[in-house]
Amino acid sequence: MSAHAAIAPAAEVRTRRVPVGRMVVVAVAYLAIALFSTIYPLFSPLNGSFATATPIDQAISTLWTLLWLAILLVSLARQPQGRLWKLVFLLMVTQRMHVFQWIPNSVVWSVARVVDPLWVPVLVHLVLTFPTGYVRGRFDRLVVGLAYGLGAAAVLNELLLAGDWWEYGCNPECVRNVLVFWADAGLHEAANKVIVAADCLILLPLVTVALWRHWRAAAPAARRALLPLVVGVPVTFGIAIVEALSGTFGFGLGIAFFESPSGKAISFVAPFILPLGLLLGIVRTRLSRGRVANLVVELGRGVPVGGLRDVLARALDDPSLQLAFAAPSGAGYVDASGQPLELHVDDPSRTVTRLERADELLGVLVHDPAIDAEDPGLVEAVGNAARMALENERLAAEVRAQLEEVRASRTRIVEAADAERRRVERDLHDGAQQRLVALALRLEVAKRTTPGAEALLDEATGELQTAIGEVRGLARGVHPTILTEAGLRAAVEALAERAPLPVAVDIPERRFDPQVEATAYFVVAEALTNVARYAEASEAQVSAAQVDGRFVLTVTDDGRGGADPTAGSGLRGLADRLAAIDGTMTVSSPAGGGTVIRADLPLEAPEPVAEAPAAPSSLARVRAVPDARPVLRGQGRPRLSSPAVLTAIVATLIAVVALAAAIPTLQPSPPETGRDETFVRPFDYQVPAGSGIKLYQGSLDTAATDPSDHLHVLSAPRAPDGISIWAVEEMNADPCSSQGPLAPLPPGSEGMLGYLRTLDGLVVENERQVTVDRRPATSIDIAAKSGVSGCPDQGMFLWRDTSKPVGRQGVMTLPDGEHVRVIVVDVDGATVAFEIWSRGDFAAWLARATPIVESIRFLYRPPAQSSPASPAAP
Amino acid sequence: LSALEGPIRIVLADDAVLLREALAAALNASGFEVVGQADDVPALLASVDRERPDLAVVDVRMPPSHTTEGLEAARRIRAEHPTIAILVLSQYVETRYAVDLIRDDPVGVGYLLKQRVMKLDDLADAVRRVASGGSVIDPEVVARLLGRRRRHSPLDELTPREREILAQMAEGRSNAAIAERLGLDPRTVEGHVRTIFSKLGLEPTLADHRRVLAVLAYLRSDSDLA
Repeated sequence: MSAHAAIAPAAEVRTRRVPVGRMVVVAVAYLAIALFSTIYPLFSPLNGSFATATPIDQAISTLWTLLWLAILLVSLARQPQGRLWKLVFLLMVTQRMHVFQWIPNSVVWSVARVVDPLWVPVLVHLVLTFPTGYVRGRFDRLVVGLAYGLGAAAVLNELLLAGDWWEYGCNPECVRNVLVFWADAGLHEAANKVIVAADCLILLPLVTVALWRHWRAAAPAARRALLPLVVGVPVTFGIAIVEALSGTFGFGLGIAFFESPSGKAISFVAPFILPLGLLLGIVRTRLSRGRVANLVVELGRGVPVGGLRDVLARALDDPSLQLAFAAPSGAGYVDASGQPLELHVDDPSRTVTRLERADELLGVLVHDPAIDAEDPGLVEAVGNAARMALENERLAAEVRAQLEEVRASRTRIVEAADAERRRVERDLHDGAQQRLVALALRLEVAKRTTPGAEALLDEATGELQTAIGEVRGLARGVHPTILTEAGLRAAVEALAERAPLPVAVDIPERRFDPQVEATAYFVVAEALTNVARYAEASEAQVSAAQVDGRFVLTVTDDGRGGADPTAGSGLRGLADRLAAIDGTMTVSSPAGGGTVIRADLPLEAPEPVAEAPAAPSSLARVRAVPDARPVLRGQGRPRLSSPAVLTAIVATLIAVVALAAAIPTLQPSPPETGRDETFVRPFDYQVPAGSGIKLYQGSLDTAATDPSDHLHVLSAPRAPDGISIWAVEEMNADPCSSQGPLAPLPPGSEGMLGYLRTLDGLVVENERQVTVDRRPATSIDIAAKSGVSGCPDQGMFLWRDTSKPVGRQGVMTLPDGEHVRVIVVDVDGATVAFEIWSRGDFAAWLARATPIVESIRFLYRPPAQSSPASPAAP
Repeated sequence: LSALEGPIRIVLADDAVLLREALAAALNASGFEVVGQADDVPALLASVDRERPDLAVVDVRMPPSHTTEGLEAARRIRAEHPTIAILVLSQYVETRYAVDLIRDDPVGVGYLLKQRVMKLDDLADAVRRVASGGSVIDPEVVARLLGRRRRHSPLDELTPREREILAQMAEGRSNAAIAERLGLDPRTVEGHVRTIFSKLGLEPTLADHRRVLAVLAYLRSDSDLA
């Protein structure tokens, strides 16, 4: 449906009844939670610290509980439809969640732990939306979003990183964090520090700033409500910041202060400041009566025509307020200046209220639904108070709208005329003129080919030339082609070139709106004609410039002056034409002082308003929508997703910062006796006995050389955890033999592992063993690898399967007695090399190797023709 | 430019069919050979590529926007086939187009008003001059430039004969052609030219095709106005 649709009959006036029933329910619920959270810990088997609380502590706690109850009930009584009391209730619930930590059940306890940090953002939300409960303005949205982001970070921190909380003991059962994802006490604490620091140093100061902005923007009535909070919040926050930072970061001075008697007193008093401020603020809120009274006073002083919207916006404290009147055409709406107005009726963050007298629509207010929520009936009261002014404004708007329609129709007429001129010119050019020229040419040809008729044809050609000249002149007068094609400067230069006096032209070399160009051109043409006819000037000047978004054209001459713009029809017609596109023309022509004609027109010709939009029949559908969702919305700028996105971004950022800050605490366990112990250790994959191959696990991933050329490190793939697993092959004494004694280790090696430890920075010569063959699909490459190590009886398969990386599969032997061993070596996580040692010639073996290949077919599919390897180079 | 062994071969581009056909007939009747006709720029370029004519006659105003497509096409032809002469036809006098056109490369370029083509002799003359590497500027353009009123212009110091010769130069004629056209001795023309150039403060030793540009630019300049 159209955006200008439809307004409901006046929203019914909601009376302010005190919702006693609901108050009782809410109070009971609240007290139940409070009581439970106070009493239960006393009996909790977890034997919490509350049991040791002094009577003073308990008295303070009770007082505090009752204070919040009062806030809850007063806010509910004042604004039963509003949000404030809901936020208060939510705050109460989140603040009491800690009680569930006393329940010795891992699930309950974990959930309570996770929900616990959320009371901070709820409190921020409450403070920043006081007294309406609705977030308004970009800055507030940002701060509230940040608060929830930090809350989310805290929740994530509890959820993912906090370990089990053993400190509560295991009686009767061990309470565990069932949600833990990656328990790490150090990381958890570090992230917590970051979050607390962000809360204290960024969030709370920002909240204070936001509150101060509220204060600055608030009208006197609103300031009454805000005052207690504006005073109380900085004090509370200041204390909270010092306390939290001291506790979290262990600042000795701060901790000592809060241990001291005055510090303790402050700790007792501090929790009361904020709720007292809230309660006082709610009590002091006298929204409607004060506003309406102010409005009446202001209206009594007189409102300038067109100024009513601002007055109403002030009275309703809604800067985005729209005041609309029914368009005189009966369709759509106009504002006070008569301009058509789009009503934001489709925007759920706006509410539309009709103001009518008897059955006549006085006007329509489009406003923030929060106004209805915080003070039902206020909009109607304001409308009633402003009835007279509305009536005046409506009539004024009607007249202006009619004027606007006239202006628009004049623009349309001029545009239509221009379009018609261009069409006529095109027709003349493409039609008559072309035909005439073509005819003349034919006559010329005829003259050549038809001897004897020259005289006659000459005469005809002459006539034709005259006709063509006349048509050209006509077309130029209708609409100059050069203007359409080459623009204003070229067209004016052409005028200047034809003028009988020197004319200097200073016009930017660019295209303007066709309307502007045409108007300016006709002004120059008319002006230059007048100059030539009457001015007795020796020279003239045409200049155009863009001044403050307007197109300003001046035609100056040094003639005798005294031109009367009202005399001739030429200049007056031009003035009309200019007025039609919202331009003006001034003629300054003192006798004997030359003439200056100045035309001033908009750079863009105004859009001719087609028809007033929307149909009146739709005027009955939209009801005032008090329950629309204005939360976290800008004034008139629906951006539902932005707070969510913002929150997500902030939460992510904080999580990242927290993790980054915590990473230094993530030290790997230090090696017990130097790095060797864990650095290189045997890996217990099954290795064929006597094969000379050993697998080791370690953190080596660089290539190194074995100075004694004693071993091959077959592979050093890097696992995700940074640990490499590699196979080390002890060489046979004869490097080309798979049999026989192993090469002796260097003296003092104490076995293979000992030898490896002597190789500080063992280097793997991967490339020598395995050349990664990056075939795109599963394939086997035999030929290229035969004799890789220079031994004729040794070869290697490379098998690559990108679909299922085999990873570190260890060693694999194939049941083929003919071959000594086959080892599967993971090269890069996707490519696997099968190293095959044969007893005889490798190439010859390959020729017979089909059974083997088939027996491991489950791993790969050999290519159609896996041609045998060429014999190895000797 | 190609030597004129056979008839001058012409590709003709104009979106007004009647006029184009008439023009083709007239050119053929004048002893030229119209080897291709095009009604838009792509067709023109294709025809030029295919036929390699001696000369392309191009209307300034061509589809799709009917503004200066023809000029753009002329520039492209010059860039791709420097040996093909171009004769641009314009509906109205736009002195700037004329100067712009010959500024890049004045050899074998002409700018003619459409009304000029009705005089078959003038048209044929222009075609021949352009095809043989000369420059042609429509007399009306020159007249417009010369006739423009100026304050304290050195042009005022020219004698009527000198103005006449200046106009001929601006139309693109060589000294010899001017001498022939005005029935003067070539040496006399040379003397006049020197005088004119010195009066106007122009470089006197310009080659024929360069001096067209110099003269046009001089005439068009606004510096002597304000």
